[in-house]
Amino acid sequence: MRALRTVFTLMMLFFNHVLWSQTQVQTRYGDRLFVGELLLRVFGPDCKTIVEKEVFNKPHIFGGPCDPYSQRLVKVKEGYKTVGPREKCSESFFSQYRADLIVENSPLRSGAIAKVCQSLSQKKACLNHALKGIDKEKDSIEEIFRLFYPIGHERLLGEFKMAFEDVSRKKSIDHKFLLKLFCQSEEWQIL
Amino acid sequence: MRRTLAAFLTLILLGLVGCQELPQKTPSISSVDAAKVLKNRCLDCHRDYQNFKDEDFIKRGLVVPGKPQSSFLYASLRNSDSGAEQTMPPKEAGDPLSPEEVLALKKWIEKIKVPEVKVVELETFSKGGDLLSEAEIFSRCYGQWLRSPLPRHHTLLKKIEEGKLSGVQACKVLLNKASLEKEAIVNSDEGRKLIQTFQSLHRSWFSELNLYNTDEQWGNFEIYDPGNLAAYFTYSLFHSKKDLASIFRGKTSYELIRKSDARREYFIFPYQETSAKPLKLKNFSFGSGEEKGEDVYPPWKIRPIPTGEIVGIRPAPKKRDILPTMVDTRKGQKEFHGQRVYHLNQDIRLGRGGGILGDPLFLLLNMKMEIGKASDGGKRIPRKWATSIFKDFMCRDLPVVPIPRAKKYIRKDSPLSFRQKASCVQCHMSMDGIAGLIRNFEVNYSVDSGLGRYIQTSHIRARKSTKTSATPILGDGDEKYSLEPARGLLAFQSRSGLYYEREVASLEELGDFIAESSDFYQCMSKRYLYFLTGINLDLDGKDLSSGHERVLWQFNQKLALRLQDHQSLRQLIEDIISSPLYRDRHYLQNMKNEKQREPAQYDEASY
Repeated sequence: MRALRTVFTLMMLFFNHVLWSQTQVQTRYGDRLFVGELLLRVFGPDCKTIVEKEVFNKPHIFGGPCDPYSQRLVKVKEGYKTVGPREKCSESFFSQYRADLIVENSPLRSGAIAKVCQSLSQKKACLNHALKGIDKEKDSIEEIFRLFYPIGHERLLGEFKMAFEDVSRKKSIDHKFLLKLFCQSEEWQIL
Repeated sequence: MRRTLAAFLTLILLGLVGCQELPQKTPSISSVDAAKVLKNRCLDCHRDYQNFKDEDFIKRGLVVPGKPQSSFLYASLRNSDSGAEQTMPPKEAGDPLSPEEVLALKKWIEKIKVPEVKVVELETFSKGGDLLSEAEIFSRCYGQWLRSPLPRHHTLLKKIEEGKLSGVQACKVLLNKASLEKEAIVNSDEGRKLIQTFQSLHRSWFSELNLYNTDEQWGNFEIYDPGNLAAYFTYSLFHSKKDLASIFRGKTSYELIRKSDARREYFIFPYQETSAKPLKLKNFSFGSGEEKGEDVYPPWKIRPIPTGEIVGIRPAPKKRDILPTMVDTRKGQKEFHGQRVYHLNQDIRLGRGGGILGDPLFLLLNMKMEIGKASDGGKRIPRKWATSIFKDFMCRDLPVVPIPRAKKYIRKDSPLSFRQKASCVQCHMSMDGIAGLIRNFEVNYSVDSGLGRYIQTSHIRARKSTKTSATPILGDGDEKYSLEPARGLLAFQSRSGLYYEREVASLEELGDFIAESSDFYQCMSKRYLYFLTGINLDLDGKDLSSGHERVLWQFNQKLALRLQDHQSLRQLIEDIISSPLYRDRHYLQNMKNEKQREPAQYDEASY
């Protein structure tokens, strides 16, 4: 009986080991700081409130723990506020302190990106800042694509161009649409 | 799956058949003398050795280049001076190796060079040919390490475009911007971001960062920064003269240098439910409990921990933060003895030896003992500290010894249930064993009370050893235990199978052991591999896992071997970013697809 139990335990251990290997291969996404800074670069400093609320303050969705020791509390007219560098915590001291460094893509993350891109492209100041440098003489797809993909990604650009080939031949594609499309695309977030 | 099952059955069959005498050839290794020893003394049972070259012994974890003591093949020899359990050749197979034979094997391993990091099989997953350009490689490391997008007009990017630098070279130049060799403070914005990112990475390796764990010690947050533990690694990364093993040596602790334009007026920790009226630092005192009456404590002018942006790291200055007095309990706590006051003038940043293992912060975070109570060697043992050592520095969860090893420590007559069963002893012998090294430590208060304007903080105090060693390390509980000189039992089986069971007398000795352990280096390379590529390798799944896991495990092992040799975290990063894992845009996707396929093509030969 005892031998049977040992054999059974050994078998369970063996199959457990074989079937539930723990190595995980996950796409390495940029964290809230990377995503937030890129969006600020594209849409301009006037959009900081939106980016802060939707990206910087969401370490659990985008990854990137906060550092409570990076911040200081100061008195202001309306009461008190926390000042500090980009690593400061927005709330809940400990849960943000221990947030993961890298977070894989998830429906929550995709949703959050869609939301922030929508909000940014709806705000006139943000939209204007993003599109002010676009050269109308040049290919608008590439010009706007390069806001989010400043370096490389030639194959992806080619795929986008091909997808819009028929449409762009007939009429120019709405810049706001392109901006939102590239903003919501996933690859620029991958590091 | 079929292949792994076959391997399992083969193992069983081999076990049944045992050693056989078959014609043998001499292994083609780099030492003729060692090859002769292997042929004459080992091949009877280990027949596969006859086809091995040096690299085959390395691949299989039998040999650590240049380090006989850490090599399974050498360390498990009877008559070797390794400190590991020595069982080879088995007694029933004959005499141990002669000193000359042992020496031949030792010399051979000492002369083997660490292999290049290239793992040919890594290329297997690089199928699409869609490689990152040099500029994209730089953009990738820049984004990862600074957590900012690469500016289009970055000077290093220009140099890449001009063909003066490769992507990997530019990443290396970038990393040097946070160098701490000349100055403790980094002035460039990029350098600071580098330190902040890697500090964040290293902080995530610690399983315990919460100082709020015993008797409302929230004042601890004001004088300790748990992130300072991670500074050991960050300092080693950015200071080329601080090799990785130095983390486990000495009594120096490290601290982050921070800077802020705002004045620090309030507490860090939001102690109150509402932030409408935060607590002002100047209204409280960290030391000096009673200034008059029968208890006269000297005042303690502690400098609260700096806050603000991290701008550098330095060794904590000695004799700066001196705590004049400690008390081992509050007055009137009936379950304790009467309050004792200790005038020790203790440097609260000074380590207790063994580098980070004896750092006061690491001890405080992990002691998990009631204030004023020291270990009794039975129920009351700082087990979390021991568990964290295995987890935080070696990526090992308990148990770290196999059940049969635990049997000799089982005591059916013990009043403690966890000393009676092998499944319990299996963990307790490792935990309780090394926790014996901090048996003299207990947590004390800085002042009598946390009420009113006095902020309590807690600190480690060492009891003086007044007894001679008499109690067993794995005992049933004895008040004398904490008054005996520190000694512990190291019971540990490395991933490569080396088994250690010996007494250790100091934290320094334990630190030396970890710094020599291949498990530590494998853990480090695994963590960096994850940070840089997103691959979270299961270090314990090497033998029976899928094709890509075996290749990754092999790659990680090579990284670890090299790390153990060069001792540089910067070089480790360079090794990883120079590999196809980092360069191929679709590498991970190929690997994910591979995971879903039967890995038939990755047979033992290709491995």
